[in-house]
Amino acid sequence: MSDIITQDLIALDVALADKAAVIGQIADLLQAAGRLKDRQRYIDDVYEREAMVPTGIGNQIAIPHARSAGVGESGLVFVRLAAPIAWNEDEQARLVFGIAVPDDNADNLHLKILANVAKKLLDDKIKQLIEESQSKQEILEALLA
Amino acid sequence: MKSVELTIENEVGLHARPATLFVKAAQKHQAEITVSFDGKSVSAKSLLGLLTLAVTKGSVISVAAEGEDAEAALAALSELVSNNFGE
Repeated sequence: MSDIITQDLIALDVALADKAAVIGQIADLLQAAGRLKDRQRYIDDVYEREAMVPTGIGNQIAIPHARSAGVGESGLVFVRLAAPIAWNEDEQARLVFGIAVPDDNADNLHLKILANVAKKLLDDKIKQLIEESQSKQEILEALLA
Repeated sequence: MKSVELTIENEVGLHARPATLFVKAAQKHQAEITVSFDGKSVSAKSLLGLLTLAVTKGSVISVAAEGEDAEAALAALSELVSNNFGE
């Protein structure tokens, strides 16, 4: 996990209006960190995935993810929204974890990253820190612990 | 306590939509239902919990249930898995 997420891939309390803006922000952060080969391809693959299976998982958490040819290097992005937005029909999201994995990754890395994030969110103390901390470093350490 | 072993044969594993369907089916029952895989056990009624198991295609999970409708719960979950979650 150690290189999967860095402070550059964390955005706190950003005001975004809808799901499209959030996915765009995730792509921007990955792009700025040099992890995308093809931004639009990545976004298309995320939407394709979302169309099959919306990734809102309750408790205002969403985990949009894609294994995509647009991804150069795997990354985990955390976007905390200033206010919750509608994600699926019946789910809202405020804590959004974007997972990007190259499409030639045969190791189910995206599932391992997802499992690791889920594990952290099950811990009430870590979840609270992720919800409230103003320190990217603190959140980074909590996610990597 | 009753339990069954189930082999996950669908493409994405116990993840995304299949995991959601599994949790919804579990929540319809009163019984306490536990899923064990790879030395870890979680409640079958928690999506987040289920996701921590990272169950991939071909994995064998153990599902245990305790309570009045335990048998019905295991039957429903077994059927869901053997039908590949309707994929």
